[in-house]
Amino acid sequence: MISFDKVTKTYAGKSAVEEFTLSIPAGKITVLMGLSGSGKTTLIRMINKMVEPDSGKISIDDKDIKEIDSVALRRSIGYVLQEVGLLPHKTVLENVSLIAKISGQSNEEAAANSTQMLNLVGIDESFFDRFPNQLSGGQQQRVGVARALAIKPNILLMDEPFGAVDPIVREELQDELLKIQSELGLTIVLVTHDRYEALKLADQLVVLSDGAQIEQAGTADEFRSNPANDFVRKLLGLKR
Amino acid sequence: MTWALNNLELVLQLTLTHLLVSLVPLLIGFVVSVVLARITSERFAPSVTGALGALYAIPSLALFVTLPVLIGTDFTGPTNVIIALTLYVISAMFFSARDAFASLPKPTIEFAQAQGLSAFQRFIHVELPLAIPGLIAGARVAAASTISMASIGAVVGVRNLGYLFLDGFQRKIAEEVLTGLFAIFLIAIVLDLALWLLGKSLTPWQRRLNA
Repeated sequence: MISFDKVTKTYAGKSAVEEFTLSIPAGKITVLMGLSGSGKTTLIRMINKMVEPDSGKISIDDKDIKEIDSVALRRSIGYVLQEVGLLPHKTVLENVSLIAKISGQSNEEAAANSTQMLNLVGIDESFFDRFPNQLSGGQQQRVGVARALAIKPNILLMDEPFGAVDPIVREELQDELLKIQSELGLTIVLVTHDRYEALKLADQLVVLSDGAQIEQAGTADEFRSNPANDFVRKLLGLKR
Repeated sequence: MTWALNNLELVLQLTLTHLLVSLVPLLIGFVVSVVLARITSERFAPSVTGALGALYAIPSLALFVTLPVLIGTDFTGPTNVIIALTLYVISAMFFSARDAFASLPKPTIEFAQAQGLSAFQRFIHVELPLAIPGLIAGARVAAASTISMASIGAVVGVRNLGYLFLDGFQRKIAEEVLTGLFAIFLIAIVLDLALWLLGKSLTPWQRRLNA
């Protein structure tokens, strides 16, 4: 479980996140949704200490992350971002196994995990020796997901992971993510501004407005049957 | 041609010295400028850039004769010339090295940090390999200027190919001057080619871009 307790972050006098409190259940997908500027990316980046909050407390399984070394913390949390950020000078397999090795796995372990995870995300072995620029956008993101999974994380942070792929591939990737999540029982925190993606993936959906104010939090069904206000209704395209 | 053939042994010996006083500064200068470019923070970059720019503007002969006064090396001999040339390589390479590191793909760097690569691991696995095209480009420019600048070392007693200019000029042997010119030109071309090949071999992913 990840919990935010009155977390505040201010950039140049403007608060990106104000007194944010939320509990993110283990083994579920929590989707943070909001317009740009709602602080959703800031929130996700606070979990792996890429952003330090000004005040408030973030804890993972009741342990304050302030007390965990940043590098060690990051090695235990999978990270997937929209632009993927594969290493262009390493092959598909090297990209995945390098991260596994850095997280502390032996060469054999890393190779085995990498192969397993690449298979899990649907990357065929014939692609293992290719360089990232020889892959389609969708394939690159699959490798991105495999790379995050190869460290055997309990938590997976995904920042607009499927924002750069075309709609058909995006749906495939979403389906696979649901399958992988149920198989591995991961705690996933996913940021998106795509309403269909949000309603489809979320066990817990959190809609944010400026300053990461929570407009509503709940299951997709709760949103559909009982949207809290006009902002939520508009953002999710729900009828009154 | 006759002159060059008759003095082949001398020319080869001078070429060897010329290579030595050029390659050593290039190697040291390359490493120093890469490290310097990487560790200089945004805040100090303008001052370092300014200082190195000013250094590069000092005529090489002036630096060759000033260094011994400043750091107590011999007036004649290679040490002094090697140090001066190293300084030039650093000032020439620093700019391109900064550029090379500044233009790395942001998401890749961001990911590496977010997934827990330490600063050193990021440098080794991500930043350095990706900066290679820019670094090699900088090294090629620095190599050409160093090879040519090294010949001025002959004035302060380093017997390299520059000696052929001095001696040929004093004794009015045009062929000797031309031989020196040609040999320097040849070294510069070969070194440039070698650096280009090195860059290619270190960036196999770029070759396969269109595969």
